[in-house]
Amino acid sequence: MQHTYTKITDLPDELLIMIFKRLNNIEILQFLMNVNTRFNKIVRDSTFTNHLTLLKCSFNHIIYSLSDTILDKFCIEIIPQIKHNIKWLDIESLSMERILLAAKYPNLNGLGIFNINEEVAQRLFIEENRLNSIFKQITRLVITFANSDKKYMTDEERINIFTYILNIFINIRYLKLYTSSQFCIYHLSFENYLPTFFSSTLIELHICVLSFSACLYLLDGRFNQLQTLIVTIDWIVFEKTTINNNKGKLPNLRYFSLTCNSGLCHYNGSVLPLLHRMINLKKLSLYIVVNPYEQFIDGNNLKKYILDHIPQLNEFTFNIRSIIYDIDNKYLLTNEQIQNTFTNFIDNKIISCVDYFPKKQTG
Amino acid sequence: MAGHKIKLQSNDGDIFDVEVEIAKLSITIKTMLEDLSMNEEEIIPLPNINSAIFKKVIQWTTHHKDDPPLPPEDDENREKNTNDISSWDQEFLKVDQGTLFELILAANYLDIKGLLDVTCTSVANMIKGKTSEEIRQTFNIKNDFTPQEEEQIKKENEWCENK
Repeated sequence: MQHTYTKITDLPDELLIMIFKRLNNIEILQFLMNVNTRFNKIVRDSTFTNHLTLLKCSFNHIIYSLSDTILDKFCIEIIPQIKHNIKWLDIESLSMERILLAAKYPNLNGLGIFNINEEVAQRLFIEENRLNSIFKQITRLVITFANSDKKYMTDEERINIFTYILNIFINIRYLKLYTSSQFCIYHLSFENYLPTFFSSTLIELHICVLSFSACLYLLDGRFNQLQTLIVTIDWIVFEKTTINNNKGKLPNLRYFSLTCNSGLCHYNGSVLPLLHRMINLKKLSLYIVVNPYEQFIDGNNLKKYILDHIPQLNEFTFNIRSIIYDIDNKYLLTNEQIQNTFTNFIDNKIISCVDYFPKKQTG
Repeated sequence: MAGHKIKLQSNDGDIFDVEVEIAKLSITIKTMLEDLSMNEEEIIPLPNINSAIFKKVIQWTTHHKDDPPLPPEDDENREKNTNDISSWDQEFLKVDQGTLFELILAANYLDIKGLLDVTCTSVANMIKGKTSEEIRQTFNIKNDFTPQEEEQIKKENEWCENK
């Protein structure tokens, strides 16, 4: 029998694409561009060129810039050929200018900028520079901050950077600011400097703040189109007063997520009134510690103080730890009794756990 | 029923008795048996696969018959670790390129996701780290660019290399 030797070029496009998908987009473009005309056509397809991650990530999630040789290959040879397809770029801050100035990107609307420190942020976002025209076309922006060797940012510098981001990215709709390290080094605090920023385009914001009152400032109407707010309170500073001068309803807000690992001490006076302003909320996530509280927050409490006030809520995810004191003078519920308060929750997958510590009079 | 066999015929006429449970790892054969109500006594033709390749497919499916089902693939998890080929599979895939690509075609035709995954990953590993010229040599691919296109690519490459 005559045996025909099957080659890679005998595979149909769908199988070549399946093979290429085992590589990331950078490897695909780096290795397979300019092999032959058929491969060129496949690798230039939007599947492989819409979203480029032009950086390296180590096994322990440390992000580095690509080497100069690879960057040269991309900036000179590859990007000019595929610039029309690129919609999102993930780049390390050191190579950002080089990559963004390598071509005009007519369809670029998303940027992930990694490892920005305050010096780079000030240079890029505060000063006038050649990237401003690209920044104006960006609607989705993710920025991760890295520690600088120099110093930590002051509250004023953080607010300045946030203000300039909103001023320069004038069409921003999605903004996520976070820290790649364990500690949130970029968090907004308005204890000493009041914010002057605002945006009428921002729809979704992910941010870390230093205190609950900073969260209230974000929801005082300065982002009047905001539909999603994902906020992490890094650690609670002592707040002189719980500033709650913001009582207006938030009809546009559809999704609110609050994470706070330190104890929230004004749950009734701060968190609940804020939630009651979110009259059209459809999705809520609370990952909080309430300390101290007069009783454990159970299903009855959640229904009475949250669910009954937000009629359109259809998804509620929570991990709430409430801490009570002076337990000798309180009626103490068993875990079973608390679990039973959740029986009327639709699609409930709720686990409760109760511990009492009589010596410390806490539960 | 465990041990119950069906007959499958390769495109060069060989007939293979294969356990139903092993044959059903192929979604194509499973569909023939279940949805098209093919009689298990009938010989099922496999017009796209020769006997040498089908023997390899049976060898692979027999070894992997008790594997848990693979999760559906999406774009989020598509960049998987291309080193995660088991030692058995690595040994199994020590074949010439012609056999490897025919296994890919067979796995695709028979719709055996696990075999398709591992063969595609094996080829992806052969691509990794190579220049376009090395890929042409490795896979015997003809350079079909026009002289003008070739000149342009050379210029761009030289510029990068000299920098």
